[in-house]
Amino acid sequence: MLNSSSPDAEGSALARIVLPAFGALSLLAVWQFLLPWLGVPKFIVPTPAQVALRIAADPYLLWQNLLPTLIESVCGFFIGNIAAILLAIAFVYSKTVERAYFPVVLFLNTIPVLAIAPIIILIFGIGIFPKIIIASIICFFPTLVNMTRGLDAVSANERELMHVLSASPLEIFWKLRAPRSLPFLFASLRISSTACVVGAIVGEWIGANKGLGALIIQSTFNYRSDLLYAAIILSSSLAVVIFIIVTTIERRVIRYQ
Amino acid sequence: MTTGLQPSPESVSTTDSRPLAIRARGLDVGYPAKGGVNVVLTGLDLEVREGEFLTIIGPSGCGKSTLLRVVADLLSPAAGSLEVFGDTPAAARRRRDIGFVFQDSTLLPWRTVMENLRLPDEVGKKARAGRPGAEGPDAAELLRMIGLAGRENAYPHQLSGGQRQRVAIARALLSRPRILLMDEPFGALDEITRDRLNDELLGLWQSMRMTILFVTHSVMEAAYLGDRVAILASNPGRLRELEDIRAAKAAAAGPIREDPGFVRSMAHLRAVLRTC
Ligand SMILES: Nc1ncnc2c1ncn2[C@@H]1O[C@H](COP(=O)(O)OP(=O)(O)OP(=O)(O)O)[C@@H](O)[C@H]1O
Ligand SMILES: [Mg+2]
Repeated sequence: MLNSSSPDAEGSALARIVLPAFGALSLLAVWQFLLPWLGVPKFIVPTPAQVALRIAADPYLLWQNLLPTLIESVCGFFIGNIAAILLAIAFVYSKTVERAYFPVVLFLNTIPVLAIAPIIILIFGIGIFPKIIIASIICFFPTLVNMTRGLDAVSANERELMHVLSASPLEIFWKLRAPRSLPFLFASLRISSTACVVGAIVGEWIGANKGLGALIIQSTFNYRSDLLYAAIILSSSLAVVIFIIVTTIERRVIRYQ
Repeated sequence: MTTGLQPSPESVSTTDSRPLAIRARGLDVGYPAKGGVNVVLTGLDLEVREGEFLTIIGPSGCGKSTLLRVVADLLSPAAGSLEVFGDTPAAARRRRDIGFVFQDSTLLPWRTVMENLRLPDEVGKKARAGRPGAEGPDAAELLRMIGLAGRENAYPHQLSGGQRQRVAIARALLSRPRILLMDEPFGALDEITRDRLNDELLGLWQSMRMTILFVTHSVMEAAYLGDRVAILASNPGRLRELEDIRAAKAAAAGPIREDPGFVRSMAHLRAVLRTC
């Protein structure tokens, strides 16, 4: 443990919290005072104060729309990543399965999510479920690639060590492959943590009457730019919160290095 | 078969009544290659007695690691036979008769020192079933013996290279193997650390009375550690000579590494190696 009163730690606290906060506040201040001065009307770009007032005025409306997006993102995060982990395990244990299905998955991954979303909505309607699917599709591919690589990232010596110890295949999986793959897995979970929110919102754009994505579309068409900005801030905050949760768990799980 | 040293190895090995730990007869080993097998070792005859310290030296690529791999059941012979205590290597491995130490310590980085030492206990339970519990020093005692008491909760990256290798040796010793296979275990260490670890290893070997097969590129290390030194030649890999150097070391007065007789036997080993 570094002593928290050492000059080093103080320097890093300054660098990590104070400076970014100052940077953000200074830009907000410029935004707040530059726009009226330039004569930009409120319905095009609101000032930060107007957005803050909107959030304070309509907390219930925003919460009502935040909740479905939150559920879709989190469910999509879990379903997409779990499916990817399971398929990665199949790939690692059967090169035949990998050769048969990896090219297909690679091809599907090149289809933009904006093109897939309408198809999913068409099949499953406008409920919460199709958005979960879209969010999970976005999470799926990075985790599949990383997890396959991570499970294979065992050295020849490590494998030989396990053989000399007469370890069973299951033991090799749990004691060697799985822990080896964790840093790879968390690298992709960090990507998924923000991507799942994007997936949910894209799904809501295509067809939904609730959720932050729907709110973004509606407030744009109604020139309610303060509400639009409030929705954007909420969706970013949602992504940031999921990201922070993932990195906190990562720091607890991967204690070495 | 040997020159320049007395007593001759034949007389030593015939008077040695200890049971055989390893016995290779006409052993051929190869790796699968396109269009057949790439033979790496041919016609190897070797007997190692229980409790013996055999060092193995030879040019790079001559098959030293390959030989250890066969003993550890990581590779099967293409022809001939290799027995470990009269049994197949696979049976010996399942009995946990065999410990292996690699050049890189192969400690699992996500496990602390103590957790790494516990790995052999956690795996292979099915294969070991029926074998009486190994007796001998426990983890804490071994840690003390290798000078790492108090570091049980350190992660491998917090240890020096020498300390990591000590932990790897302790891990191999914890399952009380009757044969310890070591593949250039100190190859990546500086000379001072290597000399110290050599002495520690000799201490462990004497107190635990196991058989050791030790591969090295250092003539000094081979001669200092081994009862006998096996010199392998390459292309194809084969046993060139077996030198018994116990007598030279027993006759040394003072530090062995500087003893003239010992230095002479090293010079002889070097001369043989140059022709391999
Ligand atoms: N997994 C493998 N597949 C195919 N060939 C191999 C394999 N491992 C080793 N060989 C070949 O077998 C020969 C002997 O290799 P081995 O590793 O036993 O040599 P070594 O004596 O241990 O060499 P070094 O001193 O460099 O470690 C080499 O020619 C090498 O190319
Ligand atoms: Mg080798």
